[in-house]
Amino acid sequence: MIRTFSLSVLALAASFSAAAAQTEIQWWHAMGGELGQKLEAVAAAYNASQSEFKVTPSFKGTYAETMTAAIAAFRAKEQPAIVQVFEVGTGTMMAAKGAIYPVYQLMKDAGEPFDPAGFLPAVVGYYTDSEGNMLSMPFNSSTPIMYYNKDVFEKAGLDRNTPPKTWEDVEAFSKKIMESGAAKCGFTSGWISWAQLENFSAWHNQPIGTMENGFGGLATELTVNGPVQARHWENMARWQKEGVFSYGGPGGGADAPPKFYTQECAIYMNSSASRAGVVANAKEFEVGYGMLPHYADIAPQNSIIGGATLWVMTGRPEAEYKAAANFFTFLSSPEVQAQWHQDTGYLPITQAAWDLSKSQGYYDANPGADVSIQQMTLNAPTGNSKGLRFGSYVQIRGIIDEEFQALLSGQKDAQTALNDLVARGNVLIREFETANK
Amino acid sequence: MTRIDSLLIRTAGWMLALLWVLPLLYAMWAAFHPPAYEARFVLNAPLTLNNFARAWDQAPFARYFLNTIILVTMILTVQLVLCTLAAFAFARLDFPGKGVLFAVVLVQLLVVPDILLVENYKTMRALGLVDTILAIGLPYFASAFAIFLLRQTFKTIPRELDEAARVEGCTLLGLLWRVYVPLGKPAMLAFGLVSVSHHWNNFLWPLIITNSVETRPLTVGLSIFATTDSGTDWALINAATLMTSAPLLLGFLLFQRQFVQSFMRAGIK
Amino acid sequence: MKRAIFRNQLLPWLLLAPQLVITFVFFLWPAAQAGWQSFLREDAFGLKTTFVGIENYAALLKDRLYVDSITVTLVFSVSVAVLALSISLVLALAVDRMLSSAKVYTTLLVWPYAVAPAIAGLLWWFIFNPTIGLAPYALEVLGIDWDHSLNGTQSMILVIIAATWKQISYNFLFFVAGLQAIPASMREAAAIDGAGPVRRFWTITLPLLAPTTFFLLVVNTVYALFDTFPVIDATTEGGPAQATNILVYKVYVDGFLGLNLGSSAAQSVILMGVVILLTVVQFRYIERRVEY
Repeated sequence: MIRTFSLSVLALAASFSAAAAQTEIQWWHAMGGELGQKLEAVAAAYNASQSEFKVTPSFKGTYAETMTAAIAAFRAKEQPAIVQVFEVGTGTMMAAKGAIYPVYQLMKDAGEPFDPAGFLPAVVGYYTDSEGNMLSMPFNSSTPIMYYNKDVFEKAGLDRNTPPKTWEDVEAFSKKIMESGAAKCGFTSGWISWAQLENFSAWHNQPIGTMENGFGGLATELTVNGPVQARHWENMARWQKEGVFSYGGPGGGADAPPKFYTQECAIYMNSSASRAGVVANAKEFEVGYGMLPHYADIAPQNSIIGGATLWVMTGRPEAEYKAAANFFTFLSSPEVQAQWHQDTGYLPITQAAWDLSKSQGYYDANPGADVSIQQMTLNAPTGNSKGLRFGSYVQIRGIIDEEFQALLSGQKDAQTALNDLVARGNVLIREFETANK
Repeated sequence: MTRIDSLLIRTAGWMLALLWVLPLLYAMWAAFHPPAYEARFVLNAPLTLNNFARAWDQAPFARYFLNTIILVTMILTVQLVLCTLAAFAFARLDFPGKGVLFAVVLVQLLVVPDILLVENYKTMRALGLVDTILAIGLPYFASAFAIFLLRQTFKTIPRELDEAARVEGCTLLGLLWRVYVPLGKPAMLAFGLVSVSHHWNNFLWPLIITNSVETRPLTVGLSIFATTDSGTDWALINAATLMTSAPLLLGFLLFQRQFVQSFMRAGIK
Repeated sequence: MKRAIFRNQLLPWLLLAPQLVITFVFFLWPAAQAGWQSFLREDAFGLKTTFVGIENYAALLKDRLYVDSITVTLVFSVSVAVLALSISLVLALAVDRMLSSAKVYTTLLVWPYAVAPAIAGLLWWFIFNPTIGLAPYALEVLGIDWDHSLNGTQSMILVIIAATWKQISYNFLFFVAGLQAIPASMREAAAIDGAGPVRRFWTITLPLLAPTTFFLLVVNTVYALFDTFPVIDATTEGGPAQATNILVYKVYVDGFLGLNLGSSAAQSVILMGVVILLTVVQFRYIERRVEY
């Protein structure tokens, strides 16, 4: 009795002293709506799991706003310990050597257990340096996949369980769908830059830029004006004219989802993380899933990711880095990862989390949820399909949209549009190189 | 006034007004109906408050409302006091450098907003104000708009009126209070409306300078609906928009009674 | 000062001091910093800084797209300012004619001002969406094929409507406030003299509204040039192929999204220069005609 009592007093005292010495770190993020709530739940679970550290998430707007906030704060020496940065900001973050604390270094310095081999190479490869060191912690990653309307397929006399495999199929299926009157258009796509140029290139094992798509250094140049890409863009322009393809707008392509949801278009390419949204909105028809199409004469390689990772910023007190490292260990544990993956539709970052989801029967209950992982891991990544790393890439994405619009409106042919895109993008890459040398 | 002329202006006025309010009517439609009816306009669509309930649950909106009300009240009060004084000086006092100083004040209007973020963040950090409501409001305590507007208004006030007040031995504050403030009231009301709605809706600066629920205004809470990877929920966005601007609309209605009443008095006299 | 009461030389300074301090600290200082920044090349975090002289400016002026963007800005700003001013004046005059229903009417018109700019942009995006929007549906009946994501002219029309929509409420308020200040006796006198409504407007109402109109002209110009980027961001993102890429949106994209600080600072400085010039012109040549 007395023993139990003194033990509980000890425990109480321990928890008190822990509370007094608790280290709090700021985690700035860009996840709104339901995703934001899921993120807060992860932080809350971590805070409840131990009493030494406390992670405080703070929503900082869109990805661009979050990044600007972090930069403003860094310049005023008020930066958070952890900030979420989108994939196209990777080049900027990596070049800022004095502002970031590489994750592999952080884990080593803090003495946290860390096994780089446990992560899925297709995911973490995007965020490693040329020596294979992990610089940031992948958090929410996704890859573009194909969604299709099974009911429309059936109405058009197609097999409802066979998605098109090649671009030739896409064209043939689309024409059949349009001729039969099952739908007005064949396909639409979100994220033209990401899906129909970057991923298109990786999927067909074509270089996006020199020096392994920019992984090799700042002296890289864009090379997306190759014959395979030109062929695809030429087709896209023709398909747009014929009504096979319907353009969904620049950036994320905000006009694309309604075209699929209202059954105007039968096929839709967009992020695998859109799956929950697609299922919720496609109330009047059944959705099928497939990998991205490839041209029949070129074997598919693997797709690349998008999304965001967590970067650790320098200039915080030592204790905060212990907290950050400890939190990352928690975050990459199979249970937390599997839960996050299943709740949000983002890719798991470790093999263990994927295996756990499989054994939990998640993919049996949610058909199509693993298309993304299979597509990403179809082949071991090559220099063309590891990812991409260019400076000023946010603006380059804008240029891609502009040139694509010039192509569709008939101002330019595909080769000219791609050549202009490469020339304009390279100017920005050179500027970035001089500013960061 | 001829009948046809009057009829024409009225009809044109009403048509434009209706056209103008159409987007808001749509927002209300989407907010009060289930998401399935967001683009389907049938009269028997079921009404629901569910969108509002869902929106309310996604962020601590009660706290955000409180913060926003504190913020706009603080800004407007300080602005009206400081700007009335400054506008009076520009409209009625003579002093060396007046033109240059007026230009300096106006430059405030001409600064591209984008360049303020990083520098003002540094200043707030130096003042120890990062993540406070005061930090959101402080840069806007000075308003070139208000000074400019009040200067224009004060200049139209007949000089005879303040001469008379001065002869009666009015102090400066007395003069301001008894002559300039009452006559400038419509302009101040109009400015008040604009200032409140501007700061009620201001987004980027509050987002950057605050981190915690205790200091953040409504717009930051609202922005969680606009950023989503998985499709946009229109019913939810419209419900949240209406909910957060409801107090503002209500305030407008109250304000309007005052505004239109004084207008009608002016018409009668 | 003719009178002895406010002879105190310090008084004007006392009245202006708080205003000036805030303007200096929070506006002029950052503007000066941007001016300095425009001569530098710097990475986003401020870790590596090089002085490059006028290189940022030279690069801009050589860029054909930047020069194009000036034309786009001109079309956009003039359209928005002219439309917003003239429509709201007509609306304000209409209120003058319908005192009985003025309340409802004013409410309708002032509402848009309560909506945040980014949300207003989203609303327009939705209304003009080629698939699900109301407007393309209605236009199709009239035989117009609406697709602003590929048609530059339509895209420009869309952003002008969206930007004007918001500003009309604002102008309307100030016009009504201005009309209110015109003594009814003056207009009645003119009416008795036999002046028709159109002549009364040109000879009595408009001159007396001149101070308000001038104020609104300056403010609308600044609005069209500076405060319209949330609308563009939510509707067209500057496209298609830069058809609606106005200068301030380019500053936003290059500085805020692209983190190209030197160039965006140079663009800000040019933009500020243009607006200052415009304002000076407005004060020099137009304010002179305004009778207070």
